[in-house]
Amino acid sequence: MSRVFQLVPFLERGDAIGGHARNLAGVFGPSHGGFVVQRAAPELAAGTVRYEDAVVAPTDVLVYHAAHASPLGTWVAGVDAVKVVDYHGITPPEFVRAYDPGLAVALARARSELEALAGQADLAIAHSVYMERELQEMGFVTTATLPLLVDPARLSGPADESVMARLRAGKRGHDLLFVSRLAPNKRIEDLVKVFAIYRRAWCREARLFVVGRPDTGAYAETLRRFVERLGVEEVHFAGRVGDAELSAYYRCADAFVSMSEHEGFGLPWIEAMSFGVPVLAYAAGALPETIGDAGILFSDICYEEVAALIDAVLGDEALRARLAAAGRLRAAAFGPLAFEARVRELFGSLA
Amino acid sequence: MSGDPYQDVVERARAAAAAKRLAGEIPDGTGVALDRLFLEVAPGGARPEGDGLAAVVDMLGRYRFDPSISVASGPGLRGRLAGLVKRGLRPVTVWTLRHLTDQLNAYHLAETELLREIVQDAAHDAGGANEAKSED
Repeated sequence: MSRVFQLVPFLERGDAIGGHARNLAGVFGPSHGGFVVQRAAPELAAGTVRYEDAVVAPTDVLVYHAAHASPLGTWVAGVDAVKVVDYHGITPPEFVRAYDPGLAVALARARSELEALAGQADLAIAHSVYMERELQEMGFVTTATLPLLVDPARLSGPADESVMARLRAGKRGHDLLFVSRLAPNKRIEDLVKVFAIYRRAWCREARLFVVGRPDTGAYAETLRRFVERLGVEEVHFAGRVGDAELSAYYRCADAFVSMSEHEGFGLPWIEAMSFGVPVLAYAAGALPETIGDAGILFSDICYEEVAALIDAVLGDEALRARLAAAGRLRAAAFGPLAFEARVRELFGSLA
Repeated sequence: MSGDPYQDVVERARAAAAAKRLAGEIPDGTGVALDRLFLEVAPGGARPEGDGLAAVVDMLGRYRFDPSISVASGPGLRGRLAGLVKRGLRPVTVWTLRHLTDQLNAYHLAETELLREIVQDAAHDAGGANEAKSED
């Protein structure tokens, strides 16, 4: 195989794109030439080179991880090499415009930069058929899908004891969980609406935990104000957490509920399934293909009916067991063996 | 709702929701009331309720120019310091910018009302044209 360099604009720990790039590097083995970055976290800086200093040969394979506006997009356009775009999804700007106009502009620019690469890419990879269609709409001709690796080892270590103890001590009813960035396309306000009805009409002791870092401060602030105005109790925003804490949230959850409107893959949905947590999700973006028959999908946003659905699932032991088993099976399909085989298949033809 | 393998539970949920509505445990219009409540706290440009020009004008009508700077800040000592500075600056920015935002808001209000009138007139004209067509 030729040398493979991965172009990651911002290489950070705990970041989904960085994690995926490291998984790819593991499969490439000695062929992996390193990471070309715009910026890297200090602890990850070893083995990276800034894009201005990178030297590549025409036979090298460059894997450009596209998600943000970055000078790397322009740089890769001007380099002679075999080019692969690994598309992580760009949130449509209209979702964030009201909350962060600057971010909306950056997202639109990211999309333009990506479109400019359409005529040059030897291969464009998406993580779902849904995202592959987006690439094709942008003009990419040779496209393929590579589902993300859901590494069972990442969350299989001991869960954070203090978080487990806190969650168990406060538990009186059902605990609902959602894990993702706090971004407007995730429609967390709709989840809060569903929860408010569920708590009022079905389970007065229920709690809702939302785990993930805010994407825009204004959206997080709006959600906080909404919860306050609604007067609904037991809505907890945990922020960004480490693997051990995240594992504790998954272990203690009764259901993973999502109202998200735009998802390119849905890694946390699969993680929840790997813990046997029943998944209920609005059927949007790539979620139907990611979840398959292992979770309950709904296509109407009727808050009362979603609340009733949560109650119906959690009140049916046989169904919960069926969903848990189907979920674990589904999660296993995104394991290391399938990932490695698919990567070799895709990159073997480029060598 | 859909999802064939779980159609039973979806149907049960639908019936349970209807029963709760009938019993008055979930008042009529709860969903709409929740949507409105969110829009009251969301920024002016947040997603409009419903479709069409009238919804967009409603969205525009909720927009206000705000002289206060955000005091949200990041974690850590640096974030706390930035938060302190922003909180300190807030009264000053409000005092200096208020006269400008008041004028912008007044202008925006007038402009929105004008657009509302135009949309209503257009809807009225379209209704009239449809009636004329059906008489042909």
